[in-house]
Amino acid sequence: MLEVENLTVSFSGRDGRAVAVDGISFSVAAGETFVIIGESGSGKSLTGMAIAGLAPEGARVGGAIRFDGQDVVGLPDARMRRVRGRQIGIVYQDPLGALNPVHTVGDQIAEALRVHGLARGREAMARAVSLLERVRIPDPARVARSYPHQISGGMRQRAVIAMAVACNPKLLIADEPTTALDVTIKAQVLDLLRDLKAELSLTTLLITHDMGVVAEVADRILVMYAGTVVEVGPAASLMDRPAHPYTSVLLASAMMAEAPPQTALTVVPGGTPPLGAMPEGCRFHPRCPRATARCRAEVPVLRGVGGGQAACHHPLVETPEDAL
Amino acid sequence: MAGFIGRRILWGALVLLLVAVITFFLSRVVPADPAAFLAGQNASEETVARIRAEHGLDQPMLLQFRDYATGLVQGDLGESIRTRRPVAQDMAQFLPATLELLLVSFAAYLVLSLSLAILAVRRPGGAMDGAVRLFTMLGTGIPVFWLGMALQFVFYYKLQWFPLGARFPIREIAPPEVTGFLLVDCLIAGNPGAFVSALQYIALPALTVVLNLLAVGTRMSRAALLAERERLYVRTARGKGLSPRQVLFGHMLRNALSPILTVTTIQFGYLLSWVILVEVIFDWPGIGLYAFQSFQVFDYSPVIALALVSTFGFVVLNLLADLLYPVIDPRVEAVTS
Repeated sequence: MLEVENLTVSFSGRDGRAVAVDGISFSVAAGETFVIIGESGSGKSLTGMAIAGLAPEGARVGGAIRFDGQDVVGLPDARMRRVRGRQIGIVYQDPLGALNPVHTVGDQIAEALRVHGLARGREAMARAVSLLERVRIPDPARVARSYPHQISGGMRQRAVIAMAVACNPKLLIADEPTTALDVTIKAQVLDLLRDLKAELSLTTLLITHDMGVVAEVADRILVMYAGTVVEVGPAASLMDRPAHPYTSVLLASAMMAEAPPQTALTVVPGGTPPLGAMPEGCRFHPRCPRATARCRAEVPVLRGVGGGQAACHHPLVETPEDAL
Repeated sequence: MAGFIGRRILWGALVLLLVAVITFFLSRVVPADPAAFLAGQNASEETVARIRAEHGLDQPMLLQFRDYATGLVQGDLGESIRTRRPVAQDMAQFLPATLELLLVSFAAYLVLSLSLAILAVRRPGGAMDGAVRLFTMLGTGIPVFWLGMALQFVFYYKLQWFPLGARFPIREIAPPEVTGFLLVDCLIAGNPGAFVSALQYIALPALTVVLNLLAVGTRMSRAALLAERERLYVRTARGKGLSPRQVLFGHMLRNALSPILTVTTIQFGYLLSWVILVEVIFDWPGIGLYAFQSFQVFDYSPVIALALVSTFGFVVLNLLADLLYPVIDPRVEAVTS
């Protein structure tokens, strides 16, 4: 369904090119919920936007992105426009910013139908209202007539979701869809995404930094760090027995939320390295408790460990499961 | 909303009153005697005194103001010493020419500044953008009076492409006056030839008025549109599959209109003053030229009337702009209601 091969996204700056996504590969099967997780600056959102052909101005996208058998990297914008919105729906992180403040919610949803010739005039508006109903907005007719600033944050994100699924796309890219929402709304939106996926047989690419979100919906998980893939595998085994030390600390910090009070806080020291100053060898080694001389010198490659693959010289789980 | 408009109208009336007071007393403290001027160089003391009394200029200043203000609220703008006619009557005669120049310039300003800005931001940093930026830089620096004279020299004197010094050729028959706007009257009379003649006469004055404003306005509109490019809703619109043109016209333009409206309101103030200046440079027979000629003989009532009329125009435009903001951006609604 979606195959990403050696994807790079880079920007040219004063000090030469800065590579934000550095040759990552993965594939998403039809119907699955594939999650990309990573800290801010890991390149995960950029990966999602590159797939939709929405990489920011000035970004150079390399490698191949095959969507439904067609390579969309370098596809002329006029051709990509027929895919975007129609075959690929996108949910954004900040629903207030993502909606146009001067158009009604209904107009903005109807526009998605109109631009792809799926409905016109009043019919498009009627379908926008039923889409709002579908994303479980109470009084959808009134919300359709409202402007984004007149409705709540949760409703805004539902409206953005309605817009994303308006044309019945095959792939839904959800870029941090719950980050801007508070906890109760977050759970509702996740439930909604899960239900829509089943109702519309969507393939979902979920991008997040939140392990709590991942646990609820993921079929497979890809962990990104500093523009590279550090671990990828089925959700269950990756979360039970992470192979990469980075995945393990991510999980540990997510568990803190559920830990009893007074427990010492586990934190990963440091932060994502800046684009211009990537460490030699394994990019995680300066923050890694298991780092050795080899990690500082040699770039680890993805290899089968545990239930999936990890790029680590000293994984926490040594043997691949299928070798047992 | 009604309360908002009511408050705004009251404010406007207060501004007009202040302008009347200030211009009246300014005209009276100027050390010049219109009566002496009117009487001529060889007039005797008695003649000057008689003329002064005739026009009430011998009265105490406050009494003069009371008389003037009493007339004003009844729509009496006083009498012109120069034309010996009521100023209101003169203004009514010359106002259409001014309004025509003003409206043609304003329309050209709106259409051209928006079009140039849109052309520029379609490809920021491109050739068109560069050309527009060069134009805005040059246009901002050129003084209006110099430009007016330069255009006259080149297009009237040297190339003889455009006529000068009137609204309409003397040798042609002007269309019957219906609206007072020559261009409109020509169309009503069904006379395209006369319309073109009138257009030729208004072209240079309008161009002079508009060029400097256009430069500033285009730069501001371009900046407003460029700022919108960075907004997240633009990515959403593209994510729906909209073309760059659809994103620009369907999404960015309306968002950019609020800042553009603000600039337009300010520019309109300049437009008013440039129109008056250009009337003098081009002998355009409007209220600006009328007031200027009156001012030269210390005939103050027309000058005060001009100040009041242009203030009124500015107040009305500001009110219109305030009413437009909530139409453009629904988030403003709460402020005005």
